Amino acid sequence: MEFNPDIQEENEESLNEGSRLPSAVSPLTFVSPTEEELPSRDLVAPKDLPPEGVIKRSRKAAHAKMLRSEMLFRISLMGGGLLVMGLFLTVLGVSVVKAWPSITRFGWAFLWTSTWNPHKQIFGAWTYLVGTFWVTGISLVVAIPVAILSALFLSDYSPKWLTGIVSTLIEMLAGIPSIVFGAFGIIFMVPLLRDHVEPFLADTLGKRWDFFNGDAMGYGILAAGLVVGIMVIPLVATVTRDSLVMVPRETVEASYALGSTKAEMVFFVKLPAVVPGIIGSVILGFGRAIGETMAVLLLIGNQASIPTSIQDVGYTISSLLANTFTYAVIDPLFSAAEIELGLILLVISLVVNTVGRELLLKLMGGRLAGSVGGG
Amino acid sequence: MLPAKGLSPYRRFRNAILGILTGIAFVLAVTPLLAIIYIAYDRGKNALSLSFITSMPSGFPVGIEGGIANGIVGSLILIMLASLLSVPVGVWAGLYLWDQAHTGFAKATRLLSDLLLGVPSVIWGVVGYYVFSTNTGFGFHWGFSGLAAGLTLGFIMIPIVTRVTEQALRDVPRSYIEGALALGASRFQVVRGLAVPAAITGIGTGVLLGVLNVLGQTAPLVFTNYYNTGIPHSLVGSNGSVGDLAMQIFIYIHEPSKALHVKAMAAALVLTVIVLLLDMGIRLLAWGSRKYAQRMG
Repeated sequence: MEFNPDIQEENEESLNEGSRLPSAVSPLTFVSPTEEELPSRDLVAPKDLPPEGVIKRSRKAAHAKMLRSEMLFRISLMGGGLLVMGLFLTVLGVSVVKAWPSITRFGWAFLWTSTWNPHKQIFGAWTYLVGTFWVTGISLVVAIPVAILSALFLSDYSPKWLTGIVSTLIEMLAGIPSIVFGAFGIIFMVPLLRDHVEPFLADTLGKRWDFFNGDAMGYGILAAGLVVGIMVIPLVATVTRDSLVMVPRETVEASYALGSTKAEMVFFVKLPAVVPGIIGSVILGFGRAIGETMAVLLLIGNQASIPTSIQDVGYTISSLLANTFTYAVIDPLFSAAEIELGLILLVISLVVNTVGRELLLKLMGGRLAGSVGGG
Repeated sequence: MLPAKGLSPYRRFRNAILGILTGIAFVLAVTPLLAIIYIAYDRGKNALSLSFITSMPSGFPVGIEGGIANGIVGSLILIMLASLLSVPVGVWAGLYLWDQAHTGFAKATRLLSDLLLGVPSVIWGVVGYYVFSTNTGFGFHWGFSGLAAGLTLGFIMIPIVTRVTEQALRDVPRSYIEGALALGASRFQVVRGLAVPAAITGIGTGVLLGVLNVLGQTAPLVFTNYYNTGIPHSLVGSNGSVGDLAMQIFIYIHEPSKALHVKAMAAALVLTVIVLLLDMGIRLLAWGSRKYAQRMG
């Protein structure tokens, strides 16, 4: 920028005159508006004001109108809530009403009767309850240690650059549909078990305990349990990881300050601190495993017998329903018995999910990804 | 006397062993999941081609030749129907739970909505059958049809959309809402002009999450739709069934036919890829909106 001597001089002159403002700025002026420029008086205020009472009343009316519309909006919002409630009541209502013939006919004995004979009209849940708990049990025995240890890996042991990638990976793999797991089981797991694992089990452990002996069919509770276990691992691992990272830094640092190694810190401080979280995640995993349908249906062998060995075939509640419900509807008692089985499954899932969720919500303050039971 | 320097060998061993164990467990957890994708590719690669996606199944048993176009079209129809039901209802209920969070009725609704998240999919199938498909008693009497299945899947999506919508709305800063209310905006104006636009990415994420959950559902379809080897002309009535990718995999893998198994694995790969892409989209959306929120302060 060039220096302009003229302005400099001008400014100096004005300073000399005693004015603090440069001459270019005109002094502020205020010209009052003319009569035409003013808004008409009628617009500004009516000449004859209505009496005080009228104003008050109109204000009150406007206020009431506003309140009414607010109320209306709130009530219309409530419709959404009512629909969700209605949906829940539909689920519960359909299950109870359609299961009623069986409930009244068999009573509590339904739970521990192991006969299931549509021709003689005798139905009992025991076989399917046992099958369901075998599959769920095997899957959890497989999944829990692996899931908790890999959650520890994700929260504490993995190098920083890897954590984000592998966490995302395991979360994404949790979304693989269960029918794909079922197909994987038939293509890969069943031949593997049939040709290698089950003969091996029979040769080693089976020599001492009959529990591990069997026909080495490939299909059965072991195949179903393993595949469901694989399916449950990402869920349990992610939720456990989420509660592990919530442990306060101070706790961890205090433990280090007392001289513990990393393993001691993790094992004696971190894990005990998140026991509710781990229990919650295991319960959620249980809820997912127990409702699992298609993968189990493809792998368990679908034979209504109580498994006595780990190589046996069996039947679960959900796979029975998916397999036979469409021809059970012809006979009202048959279908009612099946729906009563479904009702048992529903009650177990609801209780399990509520308990797991409550435990986790208490620990993590409200943030929990939704998970739907099975597919 | 000072203690010996460093850790005792036992503690050092213990320290190492836990680290190694977690690493092994992690590999054990991830390997089968990746193996599923690899095996689906390995066993299905002979069937994979572009025409596999675009052609209808043919041959006998149906599916031995041709592709999975019926399944893809059917899945799209089902997802569309499910979204048509669940997005309005879910967002509506989510708005309600957010707006009147502390009333007793809302608390009860939230509890029931969360309970619905845990309902097993066979139960949804039974409910869908008695509400939509059955031919006797109460219900819509639509038979095994695309509409019945789509709305049943919509039932499954409703609690998911509700939950995520409420969460997204809660993430809108309270001060914005209170500011707008203090300026005299009505609740409707706040919801329409402020809360929903601010939470729209969250709501979108929720809808996609619901779609993701519904996409692989097979059990409800066994009760309400079953399967169609072609593309239906109507969505209601005795020939209203649609094809579906998950159902197609189930039916193919259920046959002891090598050729069908190849097709099933190829279809499983397609389904898995779609699901994983959708999942990635959700993550990108959530990540993008977080970035955006950070920039906006």
